[in-house]
Amino acid sequence: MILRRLTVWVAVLATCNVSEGLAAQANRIQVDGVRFSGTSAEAVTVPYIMIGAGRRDSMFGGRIDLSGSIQLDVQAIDASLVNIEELTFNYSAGPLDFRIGVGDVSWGLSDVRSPVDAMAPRAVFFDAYNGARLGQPLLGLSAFSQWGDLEAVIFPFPRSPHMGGRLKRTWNGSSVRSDLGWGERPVGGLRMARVLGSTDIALSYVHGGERTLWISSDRPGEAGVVIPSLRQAGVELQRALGSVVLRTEGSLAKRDGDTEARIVAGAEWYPKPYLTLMVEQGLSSLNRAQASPLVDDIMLGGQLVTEEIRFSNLVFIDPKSGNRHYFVETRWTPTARTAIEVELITWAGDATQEPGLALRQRNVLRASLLRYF
Amino acid sequence: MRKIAELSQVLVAGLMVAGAPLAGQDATNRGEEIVREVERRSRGYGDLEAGLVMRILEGDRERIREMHVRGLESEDGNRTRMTLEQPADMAGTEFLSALEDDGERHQWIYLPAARRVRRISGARSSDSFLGSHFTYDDMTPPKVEGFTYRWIRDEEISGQPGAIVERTSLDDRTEYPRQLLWIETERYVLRRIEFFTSEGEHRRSLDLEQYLEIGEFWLAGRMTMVHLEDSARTILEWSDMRVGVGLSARDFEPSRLGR
Repeated sequence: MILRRLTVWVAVLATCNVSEGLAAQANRIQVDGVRFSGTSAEAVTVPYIMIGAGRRDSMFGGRIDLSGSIQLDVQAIDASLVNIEELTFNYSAGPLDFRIGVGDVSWGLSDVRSPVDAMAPRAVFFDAYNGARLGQPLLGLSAFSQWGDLEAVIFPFPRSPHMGGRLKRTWNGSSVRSDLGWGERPVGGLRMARVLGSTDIALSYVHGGERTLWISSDRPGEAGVVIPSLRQAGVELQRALGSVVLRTEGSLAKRDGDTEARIVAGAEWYPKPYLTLMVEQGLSSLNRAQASPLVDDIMLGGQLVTEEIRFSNLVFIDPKSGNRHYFVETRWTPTARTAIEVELITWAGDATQEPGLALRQRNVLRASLLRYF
Repeated sequence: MRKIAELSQVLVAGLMVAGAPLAGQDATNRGEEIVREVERRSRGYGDLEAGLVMRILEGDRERIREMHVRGLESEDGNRTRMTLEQPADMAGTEFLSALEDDGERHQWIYLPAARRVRRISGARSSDSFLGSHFTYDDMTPPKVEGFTYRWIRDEEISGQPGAIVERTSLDDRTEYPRQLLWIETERYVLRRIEFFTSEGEHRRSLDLEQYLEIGEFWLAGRMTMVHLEDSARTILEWSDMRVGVGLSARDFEPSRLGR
C-alpha cells in the first residue's frame, strides 16, 4: 500500500506543471531484466521496475529540491527500495546558503572509487561501485567568499548502505547481512572548494561513521555491513591541459584506529567531441583484501557518444593477479523520450586470486527499457 | 537607452559587433568604429536569465534542446550556466562556462545521476555547441582587436538605417577568417553575419531577428544559423529574458552546480 501511494505520488509530482519549476533530474520509468550468474550467486533473472522523478521550485522565499526513486523487485516486493534522494529546503541570506531536509553530498572526483566521498551511502544491486545515492537527514550551511566556497554538512541520523538484488554474497560465497538501521554513528564534514585558473582544488574533513560500503566477516560463511568510525582529511585536484583533464584525490584516514592513506589519480582525454578516453590508478597504504572498492587496480575506460548511441566501458585490472573486471554498457535512444540499455558486468582471470570478501558479481547482464516523461 | 544583441555573453554578445558612423573617416576606421559601438552597447547588463529552445534541423529530422540560461558579466570575464530541461533524459544536467578576458575558457559539467561536478576540457573553438550548428567560437564575444575592419556600404536593413562591415580575423587558424556583418546603425544591433572560408567560399549565415528591449538592452529573440551546403540549420529562440535579476559570482561557482 505504501509503495502504491508513493508510486502515485511520484507520478503526480512528475507530471504537474509548475511554471517556475525546473527538472532536477530525468523523470523516468524503467523496466529491467537482470540475469545474474556465476558461482557466488545462483543463476537467476530478476525483473525490476524503477520510477524516478525530480523537481525544483521556488517556495517560501527559498527553494525546494525534490527527487526520489522507487525500485521494485517485481518478484520480491520486500527487496524493493524507496529512496528519497533529495527533499530539501534551501534558503539564501547574503553569502550564506542554508539547507535542511533529506539529501546527500557528493564530494570527490572519481565516479566509482572516490576516497573522499565517505559520507554518502549507496543502494547497490549489481556491483558495489555503482548504485543510487541514498538520501539521509541533513543540515547544511554554505558560505561563499573570495577564498572559496565553504560547505559544512551534518547527517545527524544517517542511513546505512543498502544491498539489494543478488549482491548479498561475497566472492567466496559468504552471505552478507545489511541489517543496520538508521542513525548509526552520525557523520559530518567540512569542505572548501576553490578555482585557481585552470585548476580546481578542494580540501575536506570528515568525522563520524563512514558510509562507504564495508563488510566484515564475523563467522565462517557470514559477513555483515559495518559502519567504521572515521576521521579523514581529503584533498581533490583537477586541472585542464588542452584536451586532457587530470584528476587526483587523496585521503588520510583513521578508520577504527587504523591509519590509511589512499590516492586515486587519473586523466581524461577528449580527442574528439564524441569520444572520451580515461585512465585511473588507485593506491593504498594498506594491503587489504577487502570487499570494496577496487582500491589498488588500474582502471581503463572509454566512452563514445553520438546523438542516438552511447557506448561506454570500464575495465579494472589488478596488477598483481592480472584479473580483470569489465563493465560494458550500450545505450540506444531511438526517440527523445525512449531509451534501451544493455549492460554487461563480467570478469576474467584466476578466481582464487580475488579477495574472498569482495562484493563483486561475477556475471550480470541487464537489459532495460526507459521511458522519460 | 543602451541596447544589446547579446545574451548570456555566451551567445549574442559574441555575435554583436558595430560602431557609430563618423563622417569623413576612411572605410577601415568607420568599420571599426561601428563594431566598437556595438560592443560598447552590449556591455553592462550585469547578469541575466532566460529560457532557450534550440531547434536543430537536418533534412526531415528535428532535434530539440530546451534549457534555462543564466549569465554573469564580471571584471575578469563572463560566465554562463545552462540547465538542460530537454531532451528528457538529460534533464537536470548543467554546464558552466567561464570565459576569461584573456580568451581562456573553462568548463564544468554536473550530471544528476552521479551528483558530481567535473571539469571538462575547454572545447576547441570550432567544436559544435551541444550538437548544433553553432560553434563555441560563435558563442564567444570576439575581441574587437582580433580583427581588421572595412566599411563596405550603408544599406537599409528591414527598413532601418544600417551598414555592412567586413571583418577579417588576425588569427590564421580561424575556420571562417572573413565575415560580413549587417548592422543596424540606429540601435546598433547585429542583424546578419555571413561567414567565408579562407578560400573565399560563403559557407554559412547567421540571422538575428525579433529583437526585444530588455531593460536598457536589445536582445535578439531568435537566431538562425544556416549551413548553405546542405541547408541544415539551428534556430535559437529565447524567452522570459530578464537582466539585472540579482545573480552573483556565487551562483557561478562550480561547487554550486546542481544546487
